[in-house]
Amino acid sequence: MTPLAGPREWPAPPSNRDRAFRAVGGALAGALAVAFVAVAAALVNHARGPTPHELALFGGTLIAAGMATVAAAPIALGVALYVVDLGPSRGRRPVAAIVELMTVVPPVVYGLWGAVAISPRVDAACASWLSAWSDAERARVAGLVSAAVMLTLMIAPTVASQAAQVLRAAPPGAREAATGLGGTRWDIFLHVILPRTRWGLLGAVALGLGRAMGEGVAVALATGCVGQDARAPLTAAGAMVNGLETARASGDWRSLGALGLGLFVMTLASNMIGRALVDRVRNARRPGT
Amino acid sequence: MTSALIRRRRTVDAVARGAAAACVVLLLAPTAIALTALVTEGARGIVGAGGWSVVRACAGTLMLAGIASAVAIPLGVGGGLYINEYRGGTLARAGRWAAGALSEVPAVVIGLAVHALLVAAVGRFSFLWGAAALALMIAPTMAHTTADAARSVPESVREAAIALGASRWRTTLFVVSRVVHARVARAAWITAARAAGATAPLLFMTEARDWPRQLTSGDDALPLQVFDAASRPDARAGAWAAALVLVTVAGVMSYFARRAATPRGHT
Repeated sequence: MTPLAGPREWPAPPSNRDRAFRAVGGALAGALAVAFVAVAAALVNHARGPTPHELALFGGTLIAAGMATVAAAPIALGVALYVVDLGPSRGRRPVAAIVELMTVVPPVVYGLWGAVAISPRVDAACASWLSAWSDAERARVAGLVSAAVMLTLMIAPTVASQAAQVLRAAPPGAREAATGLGGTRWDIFLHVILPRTRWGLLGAVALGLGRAMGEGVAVALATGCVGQDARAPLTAAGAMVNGLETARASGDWRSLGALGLGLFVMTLASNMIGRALVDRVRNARRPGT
Repeated sequence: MTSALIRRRRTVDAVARGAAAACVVLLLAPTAIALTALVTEGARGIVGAGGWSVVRACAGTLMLAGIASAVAIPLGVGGGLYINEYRGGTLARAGRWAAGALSEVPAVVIGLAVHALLVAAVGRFSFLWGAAALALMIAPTMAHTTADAARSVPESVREAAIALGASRWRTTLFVVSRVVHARVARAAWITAARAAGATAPLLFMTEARDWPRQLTSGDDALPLQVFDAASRPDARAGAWAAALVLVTVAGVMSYFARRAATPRGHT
């Protein structure tokens, strides 16, 4: 028996109200498409070819976001596993609630904390460990590392909550069947859940990478790119926040445009891949539901 | 023989559980330290310096997030319902793609684009344009979440509505949206909380102020206040005070999100 294959085959002819309703909804969906085109067009209009300095900033973005993602992924996946499968049943709900709360903490607050607590410590550590390096090199390494530490803390809750959604979407029957066969929680995860969700988990990590690459305000604050004795920015998003005043004073927005367009493309690629992978697991049509 | 295998599996399981718990500690410990710093320093800052300006910035933030949400949440939810209920059409497919793409655009990039589109082209209305930028962050996310939620509504629910003689618009507006209501309301609160804390778009909208801006300037918002004060080491107390209020606002909104997600009574 084939079910109705979606609303396109609505059995009754549309009334006038149906037509009006559809027109309004279509206008809203169209507005989203127009907004996307407008954003992309505005960025392309403002941009010019990137200079070597801007290319170096994109390199910095990749390094800092990459380090943060590598550090955050295992922690976040561990937290997701705790929340869905491995944690004691009393611990799961509070941890899930706290992780969810952490995803709405504003980036500026992380930036403030990074500027006060993370960045000075990383600077001091680099000063003692890398004393043979030149000052410029050391400052660059210290900046990238403190950005990476802060980004790790910022994206870990996001990755954890996305990964938990992926794990929850695994077919419940499979979990029950494996329990019935006497599997431990870890057995069940490793042999039953993981094979069904690994691409989705990878997608959650990719979403975290995209968020880390696009984070500007927190990175700029934590690595000291704003204020009186501003340091040179290290990532593209940080440079956009840092270059705002110069662009405003000179009226030349093309450098920001180049950075913005590059970031737009980088984060779009990472996020679209991540979204597609996560949604494929979450929206999988399961027989019997 | 078998018992050795079982024992080994139990050991591995215990190690895995321990590792997962260690990950939780590893994530929550820095957060607890940061939260302690935020509360103690913030309380000191509120008592010391920043009374009135924090209150005004808080009102500014609530107004910005309120205007943006009032515009963007209905727009996003309506668009999301259309995207799912009329899926298969070109417009729905384009809308779905655009919503997915726009919902994860970095805040700095949104700020730059809105600056190029509105501030440079139309003129300076920093407050309204700030709300427009936040709306541009909220609407795509809401559309994406709504479409996702509507997709998980079983087709049999729509068929039941058809069997009762409901027209298509009634089915969408009074059946499908009822089913997805809790999920959408939760997403709305979370998204609004995130928009209330967004700083980068607002930085682009407040035109031509001195750098660093004064703590007491017009159309202020909490994130801006945190940002300004954080970039000046001598104003850190004010930064902590504003940050504490900002986190409280976001926390209250995410509490509403949790409450909205647990339906009471009939649904």
